[in-house]
Amino acid sequence: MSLSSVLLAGRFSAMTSYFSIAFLLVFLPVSILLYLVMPQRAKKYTLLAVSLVFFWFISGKLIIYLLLTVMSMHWFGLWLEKIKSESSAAVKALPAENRDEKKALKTKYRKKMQCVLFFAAVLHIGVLITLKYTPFFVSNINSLLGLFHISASFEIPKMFIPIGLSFFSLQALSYITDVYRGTVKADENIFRLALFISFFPQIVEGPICRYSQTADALWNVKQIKYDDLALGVQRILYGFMKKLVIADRLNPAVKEIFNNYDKYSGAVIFFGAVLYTLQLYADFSGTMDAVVGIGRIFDVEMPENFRHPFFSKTISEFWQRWHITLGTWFKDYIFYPITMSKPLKKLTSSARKKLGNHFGPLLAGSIALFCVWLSNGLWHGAAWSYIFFGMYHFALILGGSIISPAVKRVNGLLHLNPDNAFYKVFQIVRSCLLVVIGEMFFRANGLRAGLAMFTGLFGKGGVSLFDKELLPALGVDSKDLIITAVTAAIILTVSILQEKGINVNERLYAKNVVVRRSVIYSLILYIVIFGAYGAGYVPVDPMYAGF
Amino acid sequence: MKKYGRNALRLVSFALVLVILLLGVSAVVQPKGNRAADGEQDPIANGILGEPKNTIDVLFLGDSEAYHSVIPLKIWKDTGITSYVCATPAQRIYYSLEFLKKTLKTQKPKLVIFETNALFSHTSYLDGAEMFFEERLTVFRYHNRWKTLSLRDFSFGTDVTGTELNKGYRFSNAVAPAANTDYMTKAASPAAISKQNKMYAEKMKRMCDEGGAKLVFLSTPSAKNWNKNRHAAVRKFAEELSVEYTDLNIDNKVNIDWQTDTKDQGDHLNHNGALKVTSFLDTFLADSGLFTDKRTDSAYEKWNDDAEQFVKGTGNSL
Amino acid sequence: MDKIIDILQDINPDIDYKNRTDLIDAHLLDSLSIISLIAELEDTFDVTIPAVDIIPDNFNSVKAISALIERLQEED
Repeated sequence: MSLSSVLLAGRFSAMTSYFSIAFLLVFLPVSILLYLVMPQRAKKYTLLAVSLVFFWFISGKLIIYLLLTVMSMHWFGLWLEKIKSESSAAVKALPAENRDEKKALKTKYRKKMQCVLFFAAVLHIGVLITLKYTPFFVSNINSLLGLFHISASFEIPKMFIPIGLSFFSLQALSYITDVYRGTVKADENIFRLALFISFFPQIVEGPICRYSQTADALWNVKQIKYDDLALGVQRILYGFMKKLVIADRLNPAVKEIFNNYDKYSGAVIFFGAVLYTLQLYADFSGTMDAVVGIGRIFDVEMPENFRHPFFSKTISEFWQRWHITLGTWFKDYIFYPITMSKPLKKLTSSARKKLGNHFGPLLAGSIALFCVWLSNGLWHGAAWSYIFFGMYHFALILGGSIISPAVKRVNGLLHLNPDNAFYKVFQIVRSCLLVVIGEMFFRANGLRAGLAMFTGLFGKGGVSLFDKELLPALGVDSKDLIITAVTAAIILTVSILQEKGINVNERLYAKNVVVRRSVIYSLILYIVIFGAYGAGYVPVDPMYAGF
Repeated sequence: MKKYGRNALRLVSFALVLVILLLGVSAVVQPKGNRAADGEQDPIANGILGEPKNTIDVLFLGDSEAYHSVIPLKIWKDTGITSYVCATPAQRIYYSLEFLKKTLKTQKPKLVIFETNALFSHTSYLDGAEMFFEERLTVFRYHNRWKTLSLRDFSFGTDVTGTELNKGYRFSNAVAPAANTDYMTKAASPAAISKQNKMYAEKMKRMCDEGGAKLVFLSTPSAKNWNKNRHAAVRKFAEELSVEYTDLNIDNKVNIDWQTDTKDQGDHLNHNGALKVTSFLDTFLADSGLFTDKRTDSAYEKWNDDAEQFVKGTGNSL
Repeated sequence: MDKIIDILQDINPDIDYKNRTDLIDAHLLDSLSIISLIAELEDTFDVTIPAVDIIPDNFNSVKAISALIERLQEED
């Protein structure tokens, strides 16, 4: 084996999962030990070095994308800052009474900054689009040509996409935009930017952090405290349970139903969609538990990506609780900039006068909302099924807004109290149902399969839910389903407590040592015994690392 | 400094109790016998544990190449020498080591024959370490037995008496001819034995030396897996280790007919091929002068029965 | 202050605006209400609210909104 092949290939791709043995029992402890023994001054650099090594381990030479992203952020940030200071110096130089001239000057510099921002956005989004979507475009062009009976089809290029590109590109873009907006000052320290982008727990699946959230905390890290270590480990274990006991266990059944949906009855297809939604939640939120837990060990507060999404009463609320950092990113950098753009503002003002308070802003809002959901769909990947997934949620949210006054009126006529517990449960069940259908399209092998599954939901033929053949065909047994249900119940209980404002993690840590350790030991043994690993199980790649 | 001491103590005490708990759970989920019904994952290879004490002369280790090439019952029928094939699918050398260790506890084989295909399997220290822990904290290997636990699993008694009629050989009479009969002469990609595999093989040599067994490397015929570069690499390594090495691929030493003797286009041998390899082993073992013919020894009567039953059961000769 | 409360009540009359400090955090104002609110505020106070300032901190309470307006009026 030549040296170059060792250096350039991501030789430890197994570590892409934070729950792999290589990461959890080797890389993480070694990193922590290294960090512990380094002098205070060197700790942040240790964290940066460890992060870069981690990325290199999983991506090899593709680390170049990450490094270029850091350099671009640094450069664009300083450029914008420079224009800004030039602007204020020039404005100051003018005598105070020249208000119009000042305004014109300001606008001139603002224009210049807009150009820089635009250039930066084109660069980052351009790389993202080229790498992620070229095969999609080419294959669509090919089928379009096929429609006209032109056989000259293009070869579909194979792209080498670095892990986490979709996440760190958005993070970089938010930083540059924030500098443009003046909400953060451009960072002169390229190492701080590098650590902000590449911090190893967040690089694979996010959360998508803002510079103002984590950059300083990461740069000011101190010695690890025992309490933080313990709390972090507790959180990681909780995520480990979700991933290993539920997500990995459900994989064969989900795969089977989505690959061979035509063999199964509607009830089974629905069951498959529910299992997939559960699997995705367990996998993604479990990974986020690990990320937040690792951050906690270093006393860095990572933003939460989930807040019990299945308690949502509306779809719009669901998206404020599921993959939160992506939602807020779209809101801050797509939704509001579009609705606050001059033409749309004008539209809102005039529409409000004619259509009133509710429907007036809806017009501008729906345009922005459409852009958000198109981006959301495309962000998940280049496929019609993802675009459909985005449009599905766009339609649900917009529809919800359109009918909300009518619903209010109907509720008023029926004397329904929206705070009524039964009504709330009804809303929650309805939202979950809609989410499950959406995830079914999301997971289906292409849009055609998704639509076929949707019609299949109402079909009666095929293996039914209570058929004896069902479980063997799905590769699970009744005990698998029982342990999944038990684990889901544990998660539900913890979620209810958290929803009531109880910090379960810290509450547990505050208990006396016997209680606390008993719970931790039970959790570890629970994972070890009931985890879906070893003979008969195939480890599942982290599901969001592919996006 | 005092704080560090206290925290270190907390961590150590935490780990200690955890290990004790894991050992406890391991004792419960550990199969209480060596049969598939007991929950053993490799019952065929583990059948050696049910053989009477000190009755196995020769131990074969390796991956699927080994269990499709060596027929212990034929060796018995022809020479009166007892042997067992402790091979498992895609067996890594660190797993071979575990079988060697287990075997040496109850058996005194004079010869350990290692099939060399596994020298080219991908291994990592981490995988090796995982195996090491799995063998000791068996809950990591057998945890899935929570589904089938019975009351008996909570007692200490074990019943390791399961035996395998075929002594580890896996019979197949499928035929799928191989095309590349020139596999030993044509150009091949470079072959190197990884550092890890060398380390594990060296350990195997040491364990054999300590257990009073002679280690031998054997390359069984495989048109898919073998080539001249692999031969050269093993030859060199065997010399370094001073281990005797025989490669049956060289000059097609046992006259394998790739039209009729392979079950899957040259990957593995079928029964025809295995008969040829085993004929060679008959001579090889008899010529070594290490063993006595036990065919008339009444203590080994069972071997004769097993051989007879094999012929009856498969309709194939030995 | 009163003007702002009037605007808010026009958008959604069921909320106790005087005392709440979690209008955004508790999802009492959704994004469409925000669009409405901003359009109305801009008309009434003759300011331009840039997208940068649309953050929860600026809209969580009537007090925060009025502070935002004052700041924007000064900047102009």
